[in-house]
Amino acid sequence: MTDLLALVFLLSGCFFIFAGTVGMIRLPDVYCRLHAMTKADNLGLLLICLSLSLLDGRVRIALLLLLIWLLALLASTVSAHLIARHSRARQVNERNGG
Amino acid sequence: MSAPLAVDVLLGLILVGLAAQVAIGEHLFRAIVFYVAFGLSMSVIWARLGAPDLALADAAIGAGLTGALMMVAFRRLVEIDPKQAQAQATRSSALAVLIGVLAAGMVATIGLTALTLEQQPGRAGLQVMETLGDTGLGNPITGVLLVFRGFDTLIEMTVLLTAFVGSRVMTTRSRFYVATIAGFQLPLVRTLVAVILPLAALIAMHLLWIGSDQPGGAFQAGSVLAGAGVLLLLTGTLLPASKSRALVRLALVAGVASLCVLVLAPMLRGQVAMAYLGRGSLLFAEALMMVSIATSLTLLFAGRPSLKVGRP
Repeated sequence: MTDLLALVFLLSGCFFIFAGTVGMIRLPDVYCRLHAMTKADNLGLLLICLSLSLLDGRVRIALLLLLIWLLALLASTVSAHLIARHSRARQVNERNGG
Repeated sequence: MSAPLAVDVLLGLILVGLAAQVAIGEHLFRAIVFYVAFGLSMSVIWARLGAPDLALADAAIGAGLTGALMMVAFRRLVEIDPKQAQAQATRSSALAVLIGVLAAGMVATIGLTALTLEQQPGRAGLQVMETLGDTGLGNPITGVLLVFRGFDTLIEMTVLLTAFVGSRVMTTRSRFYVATIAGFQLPLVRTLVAVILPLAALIAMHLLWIGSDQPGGAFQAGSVLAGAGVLLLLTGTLLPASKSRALVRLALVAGVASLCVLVLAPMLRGQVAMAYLGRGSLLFAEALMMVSIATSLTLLFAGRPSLKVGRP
């Protein structure tokens, strides 16, 4: 039962990461790509971490995986924000003839 | 093909593909990004090969810090010579293709020969495992690095110091340094620093402390600290400073000095040079090596001989 649940989580995690990657390659501009990458990939990572902690079964490992997910979340939030901000600033600059 | 083998073959192909992208990529910046991805895949492969120490070191130094150093070098190139930074790679000559094919042939020959050879037990490895018990260490890698082949590590630390001094000699007249990029006073970035910094310190201390018995040690701990240093430099919490400080110089030579103490101290007690002094001595040397590694890598990124505290 646990294995089955873990498999479902793992596969759906892979699906979200795949979707995020497709989005990053196919979507038209920086903002859409950031949207696809940060949201889909972080959900995918959470599902994979969930699946791995179910497979392992130890609380310590589960907490470590949760910590890894939180760190990835923090890093992707801040970097996505900075990339979007940079890109926006450049657009405004170009529009003003700079 | 069994599933683990398929994963390994896939990883190998990814590595070769990334390496090709680094070598023949059209644009310098693209090549740097691919190099970072190459370092990450390499660390996954080390983990698959059962070498967690190398995986940690490759993720932290190979992908993280080398990537940051190359990015900052690229940024300086943009300032010094924008044309060269944006230049497309020149088309490869016939000679380069020939050399590439020959090199690939050589690697393939060696690899195929190695596959057909009978497996010999690694004598040195067996000896390490046999005598490791006497040292009281649990991690054979640390045993090799600091007990059995301590002299090599001394030379490695000297190489790092020499590399740093060399880079200082090359860049004394350079006006360029890491620019704190606009937007780094944002609350979000401040929060990132406030969360990451204590965690990085904690992880570095943990890696140092467990290094004697589990994967980890001075190199991994030092590069994690250096990563924190790079973050501090980028956010302007630390700024590059031109005036050299005694404390910084001391931190730079601490690693080499501590290993020299490890070599000479047994002679004072009438033993041979480099005789093993116990776990405490290794922890002492590793702690100082960590400080040296972190300081030199951070200063290499800063491109200046020293650091000062930036605005609050």
